[in-house]
Amino acid sequence: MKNKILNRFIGAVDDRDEYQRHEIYKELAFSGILLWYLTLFLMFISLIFDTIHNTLSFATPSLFIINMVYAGIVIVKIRRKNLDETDCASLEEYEEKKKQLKITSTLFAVQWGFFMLFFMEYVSPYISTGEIDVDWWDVVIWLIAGAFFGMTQYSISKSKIQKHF
Amino acid sequence: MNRVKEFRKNRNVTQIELAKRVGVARQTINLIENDKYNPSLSLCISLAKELHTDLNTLFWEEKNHEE
Repeated sequence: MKNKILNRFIGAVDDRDEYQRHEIYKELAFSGILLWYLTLFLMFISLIFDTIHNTLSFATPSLFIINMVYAGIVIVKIRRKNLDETDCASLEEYEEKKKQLKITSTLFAVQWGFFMLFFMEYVSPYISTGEIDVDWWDVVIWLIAGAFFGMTQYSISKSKIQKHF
Repeated sequence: MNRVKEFRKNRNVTQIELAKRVGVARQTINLIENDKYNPSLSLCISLAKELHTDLNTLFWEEKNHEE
């Protein structure tokens, strides 16, 4: 079934061999990632237009659902086959990987927190009403949300590190 | 460098003929001969059988250097 879909999609008359399939999968995977980012970008643009016009168009939630469903399916399938796991043979290696995760999760949390604060408290109200009214409580909320996001990211990523010692 | 090309020429087999016998494209045989693609073990075995040799002779580099 998968071969039939693949052949039809790429316009081939017969089954591809292992090298061809390998290359086709690589190209499709990369273009899939690009397409995902493109739909995310389009959703963001659509959200900005919706905010300007104080409405909710069909495109914004549709693109959001497509993005989430696609990401969910990919994550579940990859997780089911344990393709996102990292094996550690020693305690030193495990600690090193954990340290790397802490750094990336912290950066991710800060990046996400500041982006959300900037977009939700400055950009969104400005394009919607033309007024910006931010108090310290809003900043604290987004900092806590960022920290929560980073911790969740860290704990999920840590669960993918397998100890073999 | 593997010895697929050498064994194929010794047996007077073209790339397309060998490709058809092992069930891959001619392009794949060309890439294997030029060390631009690492074939799967099952394809290596098929190639070795078609060229009437064994995996070591066909793919084991150290042995090739010794000779």
